[in-house]
Amino acid sequence: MKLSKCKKLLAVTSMVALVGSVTAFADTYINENFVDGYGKYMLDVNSSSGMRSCDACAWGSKEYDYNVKLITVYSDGQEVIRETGFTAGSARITSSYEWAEDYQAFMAVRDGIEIRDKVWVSGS
Amino acid sequence: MKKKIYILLIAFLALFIIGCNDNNIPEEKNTQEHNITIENPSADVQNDKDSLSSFYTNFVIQDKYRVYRIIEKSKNMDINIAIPDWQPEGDAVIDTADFVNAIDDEMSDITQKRIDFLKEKLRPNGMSKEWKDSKEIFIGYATPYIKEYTSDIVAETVNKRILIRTKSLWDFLLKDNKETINKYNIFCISINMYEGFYHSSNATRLLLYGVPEETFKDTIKIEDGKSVRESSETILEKYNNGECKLDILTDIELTKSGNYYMDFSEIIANNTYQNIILKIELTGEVTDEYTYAWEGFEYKTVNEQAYQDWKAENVDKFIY
Repeated sequence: MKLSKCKKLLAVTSMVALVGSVTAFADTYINENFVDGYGKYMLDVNSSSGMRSCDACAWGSKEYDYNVKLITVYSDGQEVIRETGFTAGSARITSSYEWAEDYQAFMAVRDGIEIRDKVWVSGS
Repeated sequence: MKKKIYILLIAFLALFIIGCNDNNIPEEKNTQEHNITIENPSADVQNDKDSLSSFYTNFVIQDKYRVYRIIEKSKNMDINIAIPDWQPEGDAVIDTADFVNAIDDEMSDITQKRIDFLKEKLRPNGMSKEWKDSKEIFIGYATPYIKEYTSDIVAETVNKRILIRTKSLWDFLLKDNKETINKYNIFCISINMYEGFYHSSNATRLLLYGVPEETFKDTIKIEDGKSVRESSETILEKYNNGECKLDILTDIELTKSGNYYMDFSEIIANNTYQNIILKIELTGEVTDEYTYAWEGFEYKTVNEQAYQDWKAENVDKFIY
Protein backbone atom coordinates (compact mmCIF):
# COMPACT_ATOMS: atom_id res chain seq x y z
CA MET A 1 0.00 0.00 0.00
CA LYS A 2 2.80 2.36 0.99
CA LEU A 3 4.75 1.45 -2.13
CA SER A 4 1.71 2.31 -4.27
CA LYS A 5 1.42 5.72 -2.60
CA CYS A 6 5.11 6.33 -3.18
CA LYS A 7 4.69 5.46 -6.86
CA LYS A 8 1.78 7.90 -7.19
CA LEU A 9 3.76 10.61 -5.43
CA LEU A 10 6.73 9.96 -7.70
CA ALA A 11 4.53 10.15 -10.80
CA VAL A 12 2.95 13.45 -9.71
CA THR A 13 6.35 14.89 -8.77
CA SER A 14 7.79 13.81 -12.13
CA MET A 15 4.89 15.41 -13.98
CA VAL A 16 5.28 18.70 -12.08
CA ALA A 17 9.04 18.62 -12.69
CA LEU A 18 8.48 17.90 -16.39
CA VAL A 19 5.99 20.74 -16.78
CA GLY A 20 8.29 23.07 -14.93
CA SER A 21 11.40 22.09 -16.82
CA VAL A 22 10.05 22.42 -20.37
CA THR A 23 9.78 25.98 -21.66
CA ALA A 24 6.21 27.12 -22.15
CA PHE A 25 5.32 27.63 -25.81
CA ALA A 26 2.96 30.34 -27.00
CA ASP A 27 0.21 28.47 -28.85
CA THR A 28 -2.00 31.43 -29.59
CA TYR A 29 -1.67 35.09 -28.72
CA ILE A 30 -4.32 37.61 -29.69
CA ASN A 31 -4.12 41.19 -28.48
CA GLU A 32 -6.52 43.63 -30.11
CA ASN A 33 -8.40 46.85 -29.44
CA PHE A 34 -12.11 47.10 -28.94
CA VAL A 35 -13.59 49.67 -31.33
CA ASP A 36 -13.52 53.41 -30.71
CA GLY A 37 -11.12 53.30 -27.76
CA TYR A 38 -13.34 51.12 -25.57
CA GLY A 39 -10.34 49.18 -24.30
CA LYS A 40 -8.52 46.00 -25.23
CA TYR A 41 -8.90 42.24 -25.15
CA MET A 42 -6.35 39.46 -25.04
CA LEU A 43 -6.25 35.69 -25.32
CA ASP A 44 -2.96 34.04 -24.40
CA VAL A 45 -2.77 30.25 -24.71
CA ASN A 46 0.49 28.49 -23.83
CA SER A 47 1.42 24.85 -23.94
CA SER A 48 3.95 22.72 -22.18
CA SER A 49 4.32 18.95 -22.36
CA GLY A 50 0.94 18.57 -23.97
CA MET A 51 -0.85 20.62 -21.31
CA ARG A 52 -2.27 24.11 -21.91
CA SER A 53 -2.83 27.24 -19.88
CA CYS A 54 -5.01 30.19 -20.77
CA ASP A 55 -5.35 33.85 -19.90
CA ALA A 56 -8.41 35.64 -21.29
CA CYS A 57 -9.04 39.24 -20.36
CA ALA A 58 -10.76 42.43 -21.42
CA TRP A 59 -9.92 45.77 -19.87
CA GLY A 60 -10.04 49.52 -20.31
CA SER A 61 -11.82 52.31 -18.46
CA LYS A 62 -13.68 52.03 -15.15
CA GLU A 63 -16.51 53.90 -16.88
CA TYR A 64 -17.25 50.77 -18.92
CA ASP A 65 -18.23 47.21 -18.00
CA TYR A 66 -16.33 44.22 -19.38
CA ASN A 67 -17.36 40.58 -19.67
CA VAL A 68 -15.28 37.48 -20.43
CA LYS A 69 -16.72 34.04 -21.09
CA LEU A 70 -14.27 31.16 -21.49
CA ILE A 71 -15.19 27.77 -22.92
CA THR A 72 -12.55 25.12 -22.24
CA VAL A 73 -12.66 21.98 -24.37
CA TYR A 74 -10.77 19.16 -22.65
CA SER A 75 -8.98 16.20 -24.24
CA ASP A 76 -11.92 13.92 -23.37
CA GLY A 77 -14.34 16.23 -25.20
CA GLN A 78 -15.83 17.70 -22.03
CA GLU A 79 -16.65 21.42 -22.17
CA VAL A 80 -16.53 23.75 -19.20
CA ILE A 81 -17.94 27.29 -19.42
CA ARG A 82 -16.89 30.06 -17.07
CA GLU A 83 -18.11 33.67 -17.23
CA THR A 84 -17.25 36.80 -15.25
CA GLY A 85 -20.44 38.74 -15.99
CA PHE A 86 -20.16 42.46 -16.71
CA THR A 87 -17.77 44.14 -14.28
CA ALA A 88 -16.41 47.69 -14.22
CA GLY A 89 -12.91 48.34 -15.56
CA SER A 90 -11.81 44.82 -16.43
CA ALA A 91 -12.72 41.15 -16.56
CA ARG A 92 -10.36 38.20 -16.55
CA ILE A 93 -10.36 34.40 -16.48
CA THR A 94 -7.16 32.43 -16.14
CA SER A 95 -6.49 28.73 -16.02
CA SER A 96 -3.25 27.02 -15.06
CA TYR A 97 -1.83 24.08 -17.03
CA GLU A 98 -4.48 21.45 -17.70
CA TRP A 99 -5.28 18.78 -20.28
CA ALA A 100 -7.14 21.21 -22.54
CA GLU A 101 -7.46 20.91 -26.31
CA ASP A 102 -9.05 24.22 -27.17
CA TYR A 103 -10.20 27.49 -25.66
CA GLN A 104 -12.99 29.69 -27.00
CA ALA A 105 -13.32 33.12 -25.45
CA PHE A 106 -16.08 35.71 -25.69
CA MET A 107 -15.14 39.26 -24.73
CA ALA A 108 -17.50 42.22 -24.58
CA VAL A 109 -17.55 45.84 -23.46
CA ARG A 110 -20.63 47.77 -22.39
CA ASP A 111 -21.18 51.50 -21.95
CA GLY A 112 -24.24 52.06 -19.77
CA ILE A 113 -26.91 49.80 -21.24
CA GLU A 114 -25.39 49.56 -24.71
CA ILE A 115 -22.97 46.89 -25.93
CA ARG A 116 -20.13 48.73 -27.70
CA ASP A 117 -18.14 45.77 -28.96
CA LYS A 118 -17.99 42.00 -28.61
CA VAL A 119 -15.78 39.33 -30.11
CA TRP A 120 -15.27 35.58 -30.13
CA VAL A 121 -11.68 34.37 -30.32
CA SER A 122 -10.19 30.91 -30.05
CA GLY A 123 -6.85 29.38 -29.24
CA SER A 124 -5.41 25.89 -29.29
CA MET B 1 -27.89 37.75 34.62
CA LYS B 2 -28.20 35.04 31.98
CA LYS B 3 -31.50 36.54 30.87
CA LYS B 4 -29.85 39.94 30.35
CA ILE B 5 -27.10 38.35 28.26
CA TYR B 6 -29.70 36.56 26.11
CA ILE B 7 -31.63 39.81 25.60
CA LEU B 8 -28.41 41.62 24.65
CA LEU B 9 -27.46 38.85 22.21
CA ILE B 10 -30.90 38.94 20.56
CA ALA B 11 -30.70 42.74 20.33
CA PHE B 12 -27.25 42.53 18.66
CA LEU B 13 -28.53 39.87 16.29
CA ALA B 14 -31.53 42.03 15.34
CA LEU B 15 -29.26 45.05 14.75
CA PHE B 16 -26.93 42.88 12.65
CA ILE B 17 -29.82 41.64 10.45
CA ILE B 18 -31.08 45.22 9.96
CA GLY B 19 -27.52 46.27 9.07
CA CYS B 20 -27.28 43.51 6.45
CA ASN B 21 -30.56 44.59 4.87
CA ASP B 22 -29.31 48.17 4.61
CA ASN B 23 -26.26 46.94 2.67
CA ASN B 24 -28.55 45.56 -0.01
CA ILE B 25 -29.93 48.97 -0.85
CA PRO B 26 -28.14 50.12 -4.02
CA GLU B 27 -26.43 53.50 -4.14
CA GLU B 28 -28.27 54.46 -7.27
CA LYS B 29 -31.83 53.34 -7.75
CA ASN B 30 -32.31 52.77 -11.45
CA THR B 31 -35.51 50.79 -11.35
CA GLN B 32 -38.49 52.42 -12.95
CA GLU B 33 -42.02 51.21 -12.76
CA HIS B 34 -44.11 50.80 -15.85
CA ASN B 35 -47.64 49.72 -16.47
CA ILE B 36 -46.69 47.41 -19.30
CA THR B 37 -47.45 43.75 -18.73
CA ILE B 38 -45.31 41.29 -20.61
CA GLU B 39 -47.32 38.55 -22.21
CA ASN B 40 -46.49 35.93 -24.75
CA PRO B 41 -46.69 37.32 -28.27
CA SER B 42 -49.50 36.18 -30.53
CA ALA B 43 -49.50 32.54 -31.59
CA ASP B 44 -49.44 33.25 -35.33
CA VAL B 45 -45.87 34.52 -35.27
CA GLN B 46 -44.72 32.12 -32.55
CA ASN B 47 -45.04 29.17 -34.89
CA ASP B 48 -42.58 30.64 -37.36
CA LYS B 49 -39.17 29.31 -36.35
CA ASP B 50 -37.40 32.15 -38.13
CA SER B 51 -39.32 34.82 -36.27
CA LEU B 52 -37.89 36.83 -33.41
CA SER B 53 -40.67 35.64 -31.15
CA SER B 54 -39.48 32.06 -31.48
CA PHE B 55 -36.42 33.25 -29.54
CA TYR B 56 -37.59 36.15 -27.37
CA THR B 57 -40.70 36.07 -25.23
CA ASN B 58 -40.06 39.08 -22.98
CA PHE B 59 -42.03 41.56 -25.04
CA VAL B 60 -45.53 42.75 -25.76
CA ILE B 61 -46.71 44.45 -28.93
CA GLN B 62 -48.07 47.90 -28.26
CA ASP B 63 -48.74 50.81 -30.66
CA LYS B 64 -46.72 49.15 -33.47
CA TYR B 65 -43.74 48.65 -31.15
CA ARG B 66 -42.33 45.54 -29.58
CA VAL B 67 -41.86 46.63 -25.99
CA TYR B 68 -39.17 44.50 -24.34
CA ARG B 69 -38.78 44.28 -20.60
CA ILE B 70 -35.07 44.12 -19.76
CA ILE B 71 -34.04 43.01 -16.28
CA GLU B 72 -30.51 42.98 -14.93
CA LYS B 73 -30.43 42.36 -11.22
CA SER B 74 -26.74 43.17 -10.63
CA LYS B 75 -27.39 46.76 -11.72
CA ASN B 76 -30.88 46.82 -10.18
CA MET B 77 -32.19 47.56 -13.67
CA ASP B 78 -35.73 46.89 -14.80
CA ILE B 79 -36.49 48.92 -17.90
CA ASN B 80 -38.56 48.80 -21.08
CA ILE B 81 -37.14 49.30 -24.54
CA ALA B 82 -39.52 49.78 -27.46
CA ILE B 83 -38.38 48.64 -30.90
CA PRO B 84 -40.39 49.20 -34.11
CA ASP B 85 -42.34 46.04 -34.92
CA TRP B 86 -41.06 45.84 -38.44
CA GLN B 87 -38.92 43.34 -40.34
CA PRO B 88 -38.05 43.34 -44.04
CA GLU B 89 -39.74 40.72 -46.16
CA GLY B 90 -37.75 37.67 -47.14
CA ASP B 91 -34.66 36.53 -45.28
CA ALA B 92 -34.29 36.87 -41.52
CA VAL B 93 -32.12 39.87 -40.64
CA ILE B 94 -30.50 41.25 -37.53
CA ASP B 95 -32.74 43.17 -35.14
CA THR B 96 -32.09 45.70 -32.36
CA ALA B 97 -33.65 43.13 -29.99
CA ASP B 98 -30.62 40.92 -30.69
CA PHE B 99 -28.49 43.47 -28.85
CA VAL B 100 -30.69 44.98 -26.16
CA ASN B 101 -31.61 41.49 -24.90
CA ALA B 102 -27.90 40.74 -24.42
CA ILE B 103 -27.98 42.66 -21.14
CA ASP B 104 -31.05 40.86 -19.78
CA ASP B 105 -30.32 38.18 -17.16
CA GLU B 106 -32.66 35.62 -18.72
CA MET B 107 -32.29 36.52 -22.39
CA SER B 108 -28.52 36.92 -22.88
CA ASP B 109 -27.95 33.23 -23.70
CA ILE B 110 -30.96 33.25 -26.02
CA THR B 111 -29.49 36.28 -27.78
CA GLN B 112 -26.36 34.26 -28.56
CA LYS B 113 -28.56 31.43 -29.86
CA ARG B 114 -30.37 33.87 -32.15
CA ILE B 115 -27.01 35.25 -33.44
CA ASP B 116 -25.78 31.66 -34.00
CA PHE B 117 -29.06 30.93 -35.81
CA LEU B 118 -28.48 33.90 -38.14
CA LYS B 119 -24.88 32.85 -38.73
CA GLU B 120 -26.09 29.42 -39.87
CA LYS B 121 -29.07 30.78 -41.80
CA LEU B 122 -26.89 33.18 -43.80
CA ARG B 123 -24.05 30.72 -44.40
CA PRO B 124 -23.77 30.13 -48.17
CA ASN B 125 -23.57 26.56 -49.47
CA GLY B 126 -20.02 25.29 -49.75
CA MET B 127 -18.86 27.04 -46.58
CA SER B 128 -17.19 25.14 -43.76
CA LYS B 129 -19.40 24.17 -40.83
CA GLU B 130 -16.44 24.09 -38.45
CA TRP B 131 -16.74 26.50 -35.54
CA LYS B 132 -13.31 28.00 -36.22
CA ASP B 133 -14.05 28.63 -39.91
CA SER B 134 -16.83 31.11 -39.34
CA LYS B 135 -17.09 34.19 -37.22
CA GLU B 136 -19.55 36.73 -35.91
CA ILE B 137 -18.51 40.36 -36.36
CA PHE B 138 -20.29 42.83 -34.11
CA ILE B 139 -20.66 46.13 -35.91
CA GLY B 140 -23.21 48.27 -34.14
CA TYR B 141 -26.74 49.31 -33.26
CA ALA B 142 -28.59 52.11 -31.52
CA THR B 143 -31.10 51.74 -28.71
CA PRO B 144 -34.17 53.84 -29.59
CA TYR B 145 -35.47 56.36 -27.08
CA ILE B 146 -39.25 56.50 -27.13
CA LYS B 147 -40.42 58.60 -24.21
CA GLU B 148 -43.72 56.83 -23.60
CA TYR B 149 -42.08 53.48 -22.88
CA THR B 150 -38.51 53.91 -21.81
CA SER B 151 -36.50 55.47 -19.01
CA ASP B 152 -33.87 58.14 -18.43
CA ILE B 153 -31.21 55.42 -18.67
CA VAL B 154 -32.13 54.88 -22.31
CA ALA B 155 -32.29 58.64 -22.92
CA GLU B 156 -28.66 58.89 -21.77
CA THR B 157 -27.49 56.43 -24.40
CA VAL B 158 -28.88 58.59 -27.21
CA ASN B 159 -26.26 61.24 -26.43
CA LYS B 160 -23.55 58.69 -27.08
CA ARG B 161 -25.02 57.37 -30.31
CA ILE B 162 -22.43 56.04 -32.73
CA LEU B 163 -23.16 56.35 -36.43
CA ILE B 164 -19.78 55.36 -37.90
CA ARG B 165 -17.93 52.11 -37.30
CA THR B 166 -14.76 50.55 -38.66
CA LYS B 167 -13.73 46.91 -38.32
CA SER B 168 -10.86 44.71 -39.44
CA LEU B 169 -12.41 41.74 -41.20
CA TRP B 170 -9.42 39.40 -40.91
CA ASP B 171 -7.78 38.25 -37.67
CA PHE B 172 -4.19 38.93 -36.76
CA LEU B 173 -2.65 36.61 -34.17
CA LEU B 174 0.49 34.87 -33.10
CA LYS B 175 0.17 31.17 -33.79
CA ASP B 176 3.05 29.06 -32.51
CA ASN B 177 4.95 32.33 -32.03
CA LYS B 178 4.55 33.27 -35.73
CA GLU B 179 2.58 36.21 -37.10
CA THR B 180 -0.53 34.77 -38.73
CA ILE B 181 -3.45 36.26 -40.64
CA ASN B 182 -6.70 34.36 -40.50
CA LYS B 183 -8.50 35.20 -43.75
CA TYR B 184 -12.18 34.58 -44.50
CA ASN B 185 -13.51 34.18 -48.05
CA ILE B 186 -17.03 35.47 -47.58
CA PHE B 187 -18.36 38.33 -45.50
CA CYS B 188 -22.09 38.85 -45.04
CA ILE B 189 -23.47 41.99 -43.45
CA SER B 190 -26.99 41.96 -42.07
CA ILE B 191 -28.59 45.40 -41.98
CA ASN B 192 -31.86 46.57 -40.46
CA MET B 193 -32.78 50.25 -40.86
CA TYR B 194 -36.54 49.84 -40.18
CA GLU B 195 -37.28 51.89 -43.31
CA GLY B 196 -40.79 50.43 -43.57
CA PHE B 197 -41.61 51.82 -40.13
CA TYR B 198 -39.93 55.22 -40.25
CA HIS B 199 -40.51 55.94 -43.95
CA SER B 200 -37.25 57.88 -43.81
CA SER B 201 -34.50 58.17 -46.37
CA ASN B 202 -31.73 56.91 -44.10
CA ALA B 203 -29.05 54.80 -45.70
CA THR B 204 -26.03 52.76 -44.76
CA ARG B 205 -22.86 53.79 -46.55
CA LEU B 206 -20.43 50.90 -46.76
CA LEU B 207 -16.76 51.16 -47.72
CA LEU B 208 -14.18 48.39 -48.02
CA TYR B 209 -10.47 49.15 -47.87
CA GLY B 210 -7.75 46.71 -48.89
CA VAL B 211 -4.58 46.90 -46.79
CA PRO B 212 -1.49 46.23 -48.96
CA GLU B 213 1.55 44.38 -47.60
CA GLU B 214 3.73 47.47 -46.99
CA THR B 215 0.98 49.32 -45.10
CA PHE B 216 0.20 46.18 -43.13
CA LYS B 217 3.84 45.81 -42.02
CA ASP B 218 3.84 49.40 -40.78
CA THR B 219 0.78 48.72 -38.63
CA ILE B 220 2.51 45.97 -36.65
CA LYS B 221 4.01 47.11 -33.36
CA ILE B 222 5.81 45.26 -30.58
CA GLU B 223 4.14 45.32 -27.16
CA ASP B 224 5.64 43.35 -24.27
CA GLY B 225 7.84 41.55 -26.77
CA LYS B 226 4.91 40.40 -28.89
CA SER B 227 3.54 41.63 -32.23
CA VAL B 228 0.23 43.44 -32.19
CA ARG B 229 -1.45 45.44 -34.94
CA GLU B 230 -2.88 48.93 -34.80
CA SER B 231 -6.63 49.41 -34.65
CA SER B 232 -8.59 49.89 -37.86
CA GLU B 233 -9.53 53.41 -36.67
CA THR B 234 -5.84 54.35 -36.38
CA ILE B 235 -5.05 52.93 -39.83
CA LEU B 236 -7.94 54.85 -41.43
CA GLU B 237 -6.89 58.02 -39.63
CA LYS B 238 -3.37 57.62 -41.04
CA TYR B 239 -4.86 56.99 -44.49
CA ASN B 240 -6.98 60.15 -44.25
CA ASN B 241 -3.83 62.11 -43.26
CA GLY B 242 -1.99 60.72 -46.29
CA GLU B 243 0.38 58.71 -44.07
CA CYS B 244 -0.33 55.28 -45.52
CA LYS B 245 -1.71 53.61 -48.64
CA LEU B 246 -5.03 51.78 -48.76
CA ASP B 247 -7.12 50.74 -51.77
CA ILE B 248 -10.85 51.43 -51.79
CA LEU B 249 -12.51 48.21 -52.97
CA THR B 250 -16.08 49.45 -52.84
CA ASP B 251 -18.05 52.51 -51.75
CA ILE B 252 -21.76 51.81 -51.83
CA GLU B 253 -24.92 53.26 -50.32
CA LEU B 254 -27.48 50.70 -49.13
CA THR B 255 -31.02 52.00 -48.80
CA LYS B 256 -32.81 48.74 -48.02
CA SER B 257 -32.50 46.40 -45.08
CA GLY B 258 -31.28 42.92 -45.92
CA ASN B 259 -28.28 40.62 -46.05
CA TYR B 260 -25.45 41.63 -48.36
CA TYR B 261 -22.51 39.43 -49.35
CA MET B 262 -18.89 40.18 -50.23
CA ASP B 263 -16.50 37.65 -51.80
CA PHE B 264 -12.77 38.00 -51.10
CA SER B 265 -11.73 34.65 -52.62
CA GLU B 266 -9.80 36.25 -55.49
CA ILE B 267 -7.99 38.64 -53.14
CA ILE B 268 -6.98 35.68 -50.96
CA ALA B 269 -5.88 33.58 -53.95
CA ASN B 270 -3.69 36.41 -55.28
CA ASN B 271 -2.53 37.48 -51.79
CA THR B 272 -3.35 41.05 -52.80
CA TYR B 273 -4.12 42.36 -49.31
CA GLN B 274 -3.20 41.43 -45.76
CA ASN B 275 -6.36 42.84 -44.22
CA ILE B 276 -9.73 44.22 -45.26
CA ILE B 277 -11.13 47.16 -43.32
CA LEU B 278 -14.85 47.80 -43.28
CA LYS B 279 -16.15 51.31 -42.68
CA ILE B 280 -19.86 51.71 -42.23
CA GLU B 281 -21.84 54.89 -41.69
CA LEU B 282 -25.48 55.71 -41.13
CA THR B 283 -26.56 58.70 -43.18
CA GLY B 284 -29.75 60.74 -43.20
CA GLU B 285 -31.95 62.07 -40.43
CA VAL B 286 -31.28 60.31 -37.13
CA THR B 287 -33.77 61.23 -34.41
CA ASP B 288 -33.66 60.09 -30.78
CA GLU B 289 -36.33 57.52 -31.59
CA TYR B 290 -34.41 56.05 -34.49
CA THR B 291 -32.84 52.62 -34.30
CA TYR B 292 -30.73 50.52 -36.64
CA ALA B 293 -28.77 47.28 -36.35
CA TRP B 294 -25.70 46.01 -38.20
CA GLU B 295 -24.09 42.59 -37.75
CA GLY B 296 -21.48 40.71 -39.79
CA PHE B 297 -20.74 37.04 -40.41
CA GLU B 298 -17.64 35.55 -42.03
CA TYR B 299 -17.11 32.15 -43.59
CA LYS B 300 -14.42 30.00 -45.21
CA THR B 301 -15.01 27.99 -48.37
CA VAL B 302 -14.58 24.21 -48.35
CA ASN B 303 -16.60 23.20 -51.42
CA GLU B 304 -15.94 25.61 -54.27
CA GLN B 305 -18.47 24.10 -56.69
CA ALA B 306 -21.29 24.12 -54.14
CA TYR B 307 -20.48 27.73 -53.35
CA GLN B 308 -20.37 28.79 -57.02
CA ASP B 309 -23.78 27.15 -57.59
CA TRP B 310 -25.19 29.00 -54.59
CA LYS B 311 -23.60 32.26 -55.70
CA ALA B 312 -25.14 31.95 -59.18
CA GLU B 313 -28.58 31.69 -57.59
CA ASN B 314 -27.95 34.58 -55.21
CA VAL B 315 -25.86 36.91 -57.34
CA ASP B 316 -28.19 39.87 -56.61
CA LYS B 317 -27.17 39.70 -52.93
CA PHE B 318 -23.50 40.38 -53.68
CA ILE B 319 -22.14 43.90 -53.40
CA TYR B 320 -18.49 42.92 -53.89
